[in-house]
Amino acid sequence: MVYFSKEHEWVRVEGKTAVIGITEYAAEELGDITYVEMPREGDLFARGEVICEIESVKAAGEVYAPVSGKVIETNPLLVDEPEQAGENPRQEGWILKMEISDPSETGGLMDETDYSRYLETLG
Amino acid sequence: MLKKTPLFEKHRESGARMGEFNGWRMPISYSSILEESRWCRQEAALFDTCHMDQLLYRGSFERMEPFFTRKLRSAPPGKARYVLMLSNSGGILQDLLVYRLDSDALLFVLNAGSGAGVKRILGDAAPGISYPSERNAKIDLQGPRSFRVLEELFSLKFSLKPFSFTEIRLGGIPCLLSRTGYTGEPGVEIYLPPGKVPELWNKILSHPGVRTAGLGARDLLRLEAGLVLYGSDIDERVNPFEAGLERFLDFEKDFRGKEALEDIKDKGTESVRMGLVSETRRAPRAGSGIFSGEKKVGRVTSGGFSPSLQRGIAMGYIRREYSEPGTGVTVKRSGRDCAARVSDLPLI
Repeated sequence: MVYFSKEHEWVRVEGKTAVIGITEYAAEELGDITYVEMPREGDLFARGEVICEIESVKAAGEVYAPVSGKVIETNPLLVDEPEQAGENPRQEGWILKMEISDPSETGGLMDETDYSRYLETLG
Repeated sequence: MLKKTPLFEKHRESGARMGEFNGWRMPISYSSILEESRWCRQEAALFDTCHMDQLLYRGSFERMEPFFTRKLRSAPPGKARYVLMLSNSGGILQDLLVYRLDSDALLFVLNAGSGAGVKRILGDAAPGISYPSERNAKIDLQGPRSFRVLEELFSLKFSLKPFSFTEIRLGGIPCLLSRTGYTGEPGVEIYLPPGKVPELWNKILSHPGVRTAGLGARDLLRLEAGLVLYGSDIDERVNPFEAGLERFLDFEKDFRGKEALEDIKDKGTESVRMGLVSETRRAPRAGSGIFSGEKKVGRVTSGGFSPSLQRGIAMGYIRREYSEPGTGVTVKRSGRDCAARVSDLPLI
């Protein structure tokens, strides 16, 4: 199941693991991504905290933890090819994996249909 | 209200991402800022620079001389010079290109939005300053293949030397073709009538080696090349010695601010403009402090990601004791640190 946050992150839930990336909308807004500042594996984050920072040629953006949990893996590809986070945001460009501490928190996220509607409200 | 260049519709049709720059609605990028920068470094990139201001002067050069840091007369007709205008205390009021058109005419090319201010300063001293009514639009073709492109498109032999210009017809359009630019690459700036801009733009773009580039790429390219942007890297608060622009001062002539500068020249300045290269891809950004340990030793005035170096780069002012190339410093921005080394300019 894939969920979406209002801050334009996607979350794919696989058992207790959440794979997290940014959406095409966020990628388009940022432009060419040049750097991703990753958290350390093992770091704990509460929902809504800044979990990583993304720099592009135009701007710096923050990625918020869409759920609470522990970082168990960061995408090694993004060290040398950070642009993948924007060019292939749903596949090779995933950012990190978390161990979800409270599965009920996904209830506060949107599904694909709701997210599409949400994007329309942004114009 | 934002102004539009004669290419506005073209930019929109091509799906360019538009943004505001000094009162103009300009293309920031057409596809990818990084790709556009690379193309300019390797091939030939076409820029809409119609937003830049121009002023025309006809009359005695003697009345103009006191405003500029280099002798206007030292440039023969057909030559352009980069010059500065200073305040009485030596602060930089403006940087610009002066084109010596003929025995009694000069063309000043300025940053977007600067024309009115400069016209006021100069016009009070000398009548004869006006906005040019013809040929007052401009497009830039920049990159190592630019000259070849012009030769192939217009069946001409390109022989202009740096900072030289000539009057020429390109595809029948009367142009002033100048071997100058703002990217650090060989290239030209082409001045032409606004109504003819779309025609020449299309003609140049019809060459397979040419692609459009926006202001995003232009900013990265000039940063890599160590070229200053007025309002970001220089302004009235800094003098040419701090800014590393002393080679554009001619102390053999009299100019406004000279007295103050002679004093500064003897005493030296506390800080100097230098480059920074990040240890990682992280880019130092304008406005950030430069630190050595806990001590603030400077400030970043422009920063970004360098497609050529694949590192974050910046320029800024740093205290002389810390300005030796290779010195390790930390750039701090909203609590996040970026390790960098001081570097000479240009950065590439």
